[in-house]
Amino acid sequence: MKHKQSDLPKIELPGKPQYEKLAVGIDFLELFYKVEQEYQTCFLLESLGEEGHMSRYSLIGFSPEAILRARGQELYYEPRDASIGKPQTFQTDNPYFTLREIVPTDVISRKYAGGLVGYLGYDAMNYFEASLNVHSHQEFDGFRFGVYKDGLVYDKMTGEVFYYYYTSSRLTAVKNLLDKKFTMPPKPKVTYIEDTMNQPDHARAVEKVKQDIIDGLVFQCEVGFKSLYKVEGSKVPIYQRLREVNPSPHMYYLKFDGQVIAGASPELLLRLRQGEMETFPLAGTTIRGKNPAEDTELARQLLNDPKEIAEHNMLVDLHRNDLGRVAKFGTVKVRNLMDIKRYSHVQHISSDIVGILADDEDMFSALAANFPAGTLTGAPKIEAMKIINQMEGEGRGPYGGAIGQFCFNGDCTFAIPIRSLFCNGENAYAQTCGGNVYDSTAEGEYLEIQRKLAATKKVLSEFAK
Amino acid sequence: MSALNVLLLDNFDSFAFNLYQMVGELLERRKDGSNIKVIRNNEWDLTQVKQFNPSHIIIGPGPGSPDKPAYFGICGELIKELGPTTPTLGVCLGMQGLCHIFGATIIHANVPMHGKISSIVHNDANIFHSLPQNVEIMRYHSLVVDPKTIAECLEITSVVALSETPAIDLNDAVKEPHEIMGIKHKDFPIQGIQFHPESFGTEGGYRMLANFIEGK
Repeated sequence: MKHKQSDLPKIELPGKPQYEKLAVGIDFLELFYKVEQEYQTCFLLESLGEEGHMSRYSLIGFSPEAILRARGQELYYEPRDASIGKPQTFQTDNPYFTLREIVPTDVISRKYAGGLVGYLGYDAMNYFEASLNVHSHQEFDGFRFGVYKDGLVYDKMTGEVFYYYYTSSRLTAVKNLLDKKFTMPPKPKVTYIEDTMNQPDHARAVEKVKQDIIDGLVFQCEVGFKSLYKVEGSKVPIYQRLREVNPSPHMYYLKFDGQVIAGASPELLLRLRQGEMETFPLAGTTIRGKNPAEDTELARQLLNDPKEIAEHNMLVDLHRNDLGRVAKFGTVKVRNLMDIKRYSHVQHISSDIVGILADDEDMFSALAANFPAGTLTGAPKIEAMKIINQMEGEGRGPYGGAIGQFCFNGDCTFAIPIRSLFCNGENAYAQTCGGNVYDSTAEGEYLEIQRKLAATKKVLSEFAK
Repeated sequence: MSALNVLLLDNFDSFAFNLYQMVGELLERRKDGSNIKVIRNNEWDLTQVKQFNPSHIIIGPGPGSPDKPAYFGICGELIKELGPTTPTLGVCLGMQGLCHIFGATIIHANVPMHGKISSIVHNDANIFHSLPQNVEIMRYHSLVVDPKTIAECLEITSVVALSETPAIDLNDAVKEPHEIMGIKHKDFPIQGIQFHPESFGTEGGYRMLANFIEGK
């Protein structure tokens, strides 16, 4: 039965949140680890490394008031406890856009003001493009968000930690945690199981895509595979090592009961702030040099490689297109073209594309228009996704979807979940894909996948014994 | 000047909204209520398009080949029915479609040109009006129109510039193995371009689209 709009659990909030200064100079990461031990559902979002300026603030949320998640046409509302409400399931044509009827976007605050934090699976594209039927993952939802109406904000510039809330404060609980002694959980045991595609299969996939390219179906198509693992024990030590080995602009540890996504993503999907949208397509990969001169030499080779440039050109036009679907006329601009961004194990070509959101659009349509990242599909996007669906037999889950937040003030920030570990209980996977273009070779693409996996694999191998 | 009503056919592409943005920006500058509407190639039937009464039609880029209806939708029918009277611009797949409707064959290119930039020689008229020669244009295609099969009613307006033969006679281009970048119909207000005027890598894209809107 279809729901009545009046039944939806509309989130009610006062016009602006309250802020209280909690502490200065504390170890925010350790505070999160304490939170993680105490609460079944929580998150940490932070921005590290050379691109750490992507966010000045690190965020913690814990035990959200409710979970909003969707599978297919069903939207699930799961409140924290009976005092908030009872669990409900809604049949809806489009659970994603139904969020519009639930989530306020008009809170007034110049600071972080809470919101939905979680992920969209790659298969959430089924909510945005009726002509597709992307495989869903058996264990992960189409999307899953916590409704966070309070939380902790760490200002990296000043070292201050603030607690924000709307109506009910849980500051005492936070203070108790702060005073609690912390011991790092023991290292988990990580067992590598298998890759979902072996090298010969991957080579066949690359050849098939190349034929599709010759036949004019796509210019580029991102086909990849999963590496499956079993992880016994806490995922916290893995995240700790990911941050050390591969400090990235988009670091996250999301926990929804038994599901944990821990990652170090280099790539923003979309940031919308006060009506301004930004994307930073990353495409074109090379290794890091041993010293700055070697880094520059490698960057020079990369920026003079016609295959890499062609691939990046396509993505710049694709990202312009996606912003252009929801932008005011004349506001989509390429702010920076083909810079080099350096990460711990790789260098990437990066561009910076912006647009101003049109008056009749909002953060939900902005994300939908830019979803999923062109760097994870290829172009044209719809045709490329059809091929991916064929070549990758099983759902990607959150890999290649989006991780981040819809804020109650109408802003949103989402990273692309790559270079991440996706865990459901003890089952875990990492995934990568390579951008197959006409000039691609199977070995070259396989090597690129190995390079992109390097940092994640290095970390996981440390827990192998 | 009366308000324009531009209809853009999206062939399930990832660049259609770049055209939408650029044309939309040009129309907005007219300040006369002109507007652009984007539809998927299977969204409306011919009657609905006629009701919309477009002043201009743009057949956008897209995957596949125009000889396969699954990839070209209603576009072929629109070219046949409205092309003789409504200014129509085909871009990439759109141009291939125009040529195909008038009898040309679509074949594989020697090498796919995806995200590659070339310079062009053009007729300095129609959408190329007042554009310098050798402007750089962005290409995303692996299929091309077979020059030998281009109908009498079409003329070539642009080809890829060759450094070894800087002077190319467009009237003779049909006979040579040139890569065709532009065509127009001799009698109808139909034009096509193989490259992407909406790409960030194309020089003079706004001028080309403005020429089209202004009826050149």
